Formats: sequence, C-alpha cells, structure tokens
Amino acid sequence: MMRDKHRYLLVEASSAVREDDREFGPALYRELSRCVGEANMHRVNLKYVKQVDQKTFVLKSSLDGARDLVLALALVKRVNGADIAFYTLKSSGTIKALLSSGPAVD
Amino acid sequence: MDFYDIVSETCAFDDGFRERLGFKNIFTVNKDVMAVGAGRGPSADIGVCIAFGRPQNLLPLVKGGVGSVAITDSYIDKELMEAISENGCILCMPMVSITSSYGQERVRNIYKMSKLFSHARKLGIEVSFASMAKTALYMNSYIQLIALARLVGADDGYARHSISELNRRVGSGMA
Repeated sequence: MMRDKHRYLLVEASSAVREDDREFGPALYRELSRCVGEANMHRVNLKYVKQVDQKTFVLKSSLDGARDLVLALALVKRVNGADIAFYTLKSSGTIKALLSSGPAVD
Repeated sequence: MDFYDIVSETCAFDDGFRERLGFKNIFTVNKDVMAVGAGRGPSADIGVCIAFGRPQNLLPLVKGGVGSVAITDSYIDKELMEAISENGCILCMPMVSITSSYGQERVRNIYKMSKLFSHARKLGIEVSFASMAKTALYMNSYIQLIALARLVGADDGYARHSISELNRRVGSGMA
C-alpha cells in the first residue's frame, strides 16, 4: 500500500485565533474550500494539527495539495465577517523541522 | 537565496514580521524606490524609479528611461510592451490586485495578469512579482508570493528569480 506523503505548514494569522472558538475552524475551512474549489479540496486533505501561540498554528495537508493550500491561505482575507490574513511562514515534512528555528523549506 | 518584496508607502511592518515572512528586505515605494505616476515624468534628481499608471501614460515614462513599470489595470498595450522590451525595463506585477479583490473581479484580474505575464515573457521582458500591499493585511510571505506567481503562469524557477533578483533590482533602484 502506498504511504500518503504530507506537508506541515506553519501559519500565522494577522490577529489572535482562540483555540476554543468552535466557529472559526469550519468558517476557515469554508473560505479555503471556496478558493481551492470544492471539487479539488479532497486533494488538499486539510487537517488542523495544533496551536503554537495565539496567532500561530500548524496545518497538515497532502503533498500534492500543499501548493493549493498555500495559495488559498494567501487569498483568504475575511473569516466570519472579520478581516484577517494568513501568512504561510514555513513548510516541512515533519513537525520537528517545522518548529525548529531553521530556514523555511517550501 | 534571499527574497525581497515591495510594498506601498502606507504599509507599516516591523523587522521581526519581515523576517518571519522570509524576506531579507522589504522595499517601500517613495522611501526606497521613487514612484512616478501619470502626468509626472522622471526628473534628473529622481533617477531610477518605478512608474505606475495606465498604458497611455506609461509610454513617455518608459521612453524617458524609467527602470520599472507597473501597469495598474494589467491592460496589454502592444506599443508600450515593445517599448518596455526595447528599453530593458522591468515589468512589475502588483499581487495586491489579486489578493484584495473578490469573486468575479479576482478571477478577471488573474486572467488579465496571466495574459500580461505570458505576453511579456514572449517579448523577453523581465517580470517582477511584488505584493505592493497598502496594509499588512495584504502582505504575503515569500512562499505565498511564489504560489501567486505560479497562479499567473510563472514556473517555480522564474518565480524565485523574480522575487529574489528582480525585486532587489526594482526596490533598490538598480533596474
């Protein structure tokens, strides 16, 4: 069986994102799938991994869909009626490398 | 490889944020690189600068020796494109027109910019991709800028060359 290759993205939001905000996750997913296209969203295979600090969190996607996800994050500027931007700071195959202070890999 | 971005003069950011976005430097229009617009030609004291405007206004500026141009409405004017090619001018593509628009307007902007990019490359014109953000909301990390460049038709190698070498030349007035 082929092993799915994936990519972890370190994403910073322009304003604080509360981990306990139950509406934020589905709203962000909705905006991202609008940019990627609902028919292509399965290729991204998006998963929320963890919150690093108030503004920074880690997302996981399939290797094939990582580029679509980076682009969609650049295009989303509004979630739940509030202005917000997402900056993809780093991309890596492992969480350890992603959270290390080394150079960004894309 | 070092990456550079160019933003509008109204965009405020600190060095920590610039580093997190992965840029060695972010140049600011009218601070690091002088901007000239419609009706104002490059003067001797301005030197190399970036010109913003519609094609009909940009033609005299390109012939006057301006280093780089940004066509605000992404309209392809054959005479202007030939002048840009002959003068070795860099065509700057402001990604803010994609990131700040929405829906049908965004689709239209992507289409126009991809046509402009492919036409420019056929003529051998160097194309730089810069965010030209007016606020921090429309700034991008270098990874996102590469993804946006790919969206309008650049391959990975050219996108990286554009965001590193060409943005440095445009931003530091070496174009």
